[in-house]
Amino acid sequence: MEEKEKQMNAEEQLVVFNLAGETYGIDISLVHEIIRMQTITKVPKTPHFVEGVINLRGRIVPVIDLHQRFGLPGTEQTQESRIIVVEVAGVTVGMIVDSVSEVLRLPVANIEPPPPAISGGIDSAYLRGVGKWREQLIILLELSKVLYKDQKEMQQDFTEKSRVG
Amino acid sequence: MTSDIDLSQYLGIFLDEAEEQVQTLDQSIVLLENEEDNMELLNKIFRAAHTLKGASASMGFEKMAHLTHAMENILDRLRHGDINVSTEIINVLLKALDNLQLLKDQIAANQQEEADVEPVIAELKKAGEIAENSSADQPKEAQQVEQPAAEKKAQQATVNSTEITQQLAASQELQLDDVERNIINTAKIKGYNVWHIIVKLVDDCLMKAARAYIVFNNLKESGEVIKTTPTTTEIEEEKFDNSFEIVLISHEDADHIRSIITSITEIDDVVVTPVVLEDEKNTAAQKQQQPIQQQHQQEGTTPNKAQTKPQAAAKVAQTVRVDVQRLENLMNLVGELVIDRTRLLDVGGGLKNKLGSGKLVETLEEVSVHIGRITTDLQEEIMKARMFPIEQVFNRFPRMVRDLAQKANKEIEFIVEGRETELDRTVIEEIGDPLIHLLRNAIDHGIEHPEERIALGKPEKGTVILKAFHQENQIIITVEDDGKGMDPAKLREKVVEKGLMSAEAANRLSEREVFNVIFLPGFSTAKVVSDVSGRGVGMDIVRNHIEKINGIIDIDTAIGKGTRFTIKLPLTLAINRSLLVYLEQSVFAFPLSSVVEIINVEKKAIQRIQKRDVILVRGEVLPLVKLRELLMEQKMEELPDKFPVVVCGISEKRIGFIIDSLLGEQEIVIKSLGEYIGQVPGLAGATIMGDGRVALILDVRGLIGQTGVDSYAFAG
Repeated sequence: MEEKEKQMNAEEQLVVFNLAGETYGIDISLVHEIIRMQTITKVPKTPHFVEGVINLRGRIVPVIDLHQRFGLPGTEQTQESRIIVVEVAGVTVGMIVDSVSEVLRLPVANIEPPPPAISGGIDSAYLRGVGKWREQLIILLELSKVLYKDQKEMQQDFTEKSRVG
Repeated sequence: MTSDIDLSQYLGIFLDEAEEQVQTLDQSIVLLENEEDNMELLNKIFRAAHTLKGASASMGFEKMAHLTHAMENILDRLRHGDINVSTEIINVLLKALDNLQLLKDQIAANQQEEADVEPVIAELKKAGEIAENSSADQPKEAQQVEQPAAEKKAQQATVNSTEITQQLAASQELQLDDVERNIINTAKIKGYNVWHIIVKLVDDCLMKAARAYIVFNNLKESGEVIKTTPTTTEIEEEKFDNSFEIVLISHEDADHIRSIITSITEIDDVVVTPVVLEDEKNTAAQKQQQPIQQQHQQEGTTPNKAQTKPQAAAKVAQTVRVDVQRLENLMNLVGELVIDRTRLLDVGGGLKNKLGSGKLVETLEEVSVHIGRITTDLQEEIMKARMFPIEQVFNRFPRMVRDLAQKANKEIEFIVEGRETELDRTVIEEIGDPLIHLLRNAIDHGIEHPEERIALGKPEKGTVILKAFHQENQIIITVEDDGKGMDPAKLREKVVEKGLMSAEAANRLSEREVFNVIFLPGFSTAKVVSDVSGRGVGMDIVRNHIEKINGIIDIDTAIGKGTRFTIKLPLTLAINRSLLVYLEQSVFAFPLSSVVEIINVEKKAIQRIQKRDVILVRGEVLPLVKLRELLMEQKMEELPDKFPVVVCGISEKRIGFIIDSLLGEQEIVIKSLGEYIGQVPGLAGATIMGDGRVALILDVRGLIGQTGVDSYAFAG
């Protein structure tokens, strides 16, 4: 009984951001920092969603565009655009998002497994679940998948590109 | 009290030390074969084995302790001249060393010893017996000479020991509180001895806290430690000089206690005196105090060893082991400073424009210039901290050469020069494998068998020379043998036979070019690369390795005279002089080492050969490649009438890259693109420029590979 209660009371702390009109959340413990947009140096012959690299205080950090990653319609970068720098399995990657809205605590009980197809075509493989927060739905991302859904895909993308080139 | 010290925290130190001793053993044992009378060397080997024995025993690694003990036994008999150095003894010692290495690796991997060392221990014992029998009837000259020396040493040791003993006893007075007094009293009433023990570690003791722990641990078997000075916590934190004190309640006598402690390595001296409480002092202790006071007075006139030692030690360079990652981090931090400095300069300039030059603006400029200077120095210092003598790599070779020579039944004199030459850590890591391969090559194929050599009128013993030295901004490493050399005719034959080249092409190769065929992938055969090397890698891998670290390899060879491989390497890989160029808005960096020249080309000078743009430069055909098309996969529109071309060269190959404009030359710090992006063909990494932007560093070799110009020149 107690165990269950504990679980009921458990919370997840999320960084919530917007992307093409949808609300997404990622586990705060994976977030290194959130920075403003800055000059991104394009790196040739990388997958299409890799925007390039930035200088994060002396470190070279790759930046990916989540619009491109999820195949969402591209949105112009604005004053609101941010790069969320995450660290997953020792690898640091920046992700461009439309805006970062808040950090919130979501009771685990409010999280449901991902429905088959929830949002405008985002592959459910990237999803960890859907959270309900005051009438709002938050799409919880499975970051390791977002970054490395499969290396093959990256590789393929890459070889195709170099073949064209 | 002491049992809560966790041994595993010393594992790292233990392994470091073990590595050091194993290295010492490895080098020295091989040397010993040729310098069997070198007493100093023998002692060094003995000490290394002894230290390892002590350290492993105290860490609870019994197999290692047994093995080193067996080695120590045989070494001790060598030292005393009971047996003589022979190939058999060296072989078995080396075998023991291999086992030792294995144990060490196993401990490092999973903190356990798995290897069965009994067979080699038995071999060690047997070798000792056989050697003794065979040398039994020989006059034991060495021993006779050695004996008095050893005796003298022993005497000296006792003299020193008493000196230090008394000095220690005099300088340290035991402080006891009431509780401790009570315990001592009770113990005495019960008939126990209470000992005040002063332990002095040797001056350069490596793991002081660990040694102290071992002392406590060993003492626990003979009694109870009731007090230590400094406290155990302080000892654990190494907050003590070279000595510490223990109060022990025990049944054992002073000699026994002393012997328990002195059996531990790196213990310089031990003083065991009975603890005398004040009320007893008047009677019992008086006798003891007197000689100490005498000694105390003498100190003023005769400087003793303990005092002179620190002075001598001060001359030796003090070193600290530093995690490489720390250095990398330092380097990154300095990189940030460099960027901030530039920004400071910008701010200064901006303020000056806005406000004109005032005192504050001037100060700001001064400060930023000063910061700039410090940053440059810092960067240089950290670079130097990354440099290591190539010794680290070279030291593994004598043993390897010996083993290979023995296996191949050849006699080889191996000469190593320039061990002290310093190289960047990254280069050192990469250079080992290619060198191993070249050495094997020299032994297996270069050097002839002794009879063959005699027939040729060469000295029976072949010579292999490994040399390293600085030349301008490069390191040169050569591997040279006086063996048979390479035969161009045979190489031509072979390369055709292997289907790597047409007979016609092979015949067209110049005298110099023909030797480069051994670097072709797929050329490695028993005729060129040994079966002994057995790793299935050929000279192409050697060359790839070397080129990976921006090096060049050359061959000089003469039939019947020998072969020399010359490797030229950059001093460091972390900092690179580069040519920065623009392509559209992006900045790219060409490593200056591969840039031959920069030329301005007029559009009308372009000609076409086989659908490829070329120009003539001083009569030579130079293929042109549009870097924008190559890198950015975009068609380049019309070229301007005049444009800059960066001419790059790898070995014999030359290629011109058309760029938009030049930015200049700069020292850059190379950073990898990171795991996520991984290796990108044509790119060697990235760097951060003064203004904080990221520039990509080009990998000229990779780029040339992509152009398809490869077929222009053969084999490089």
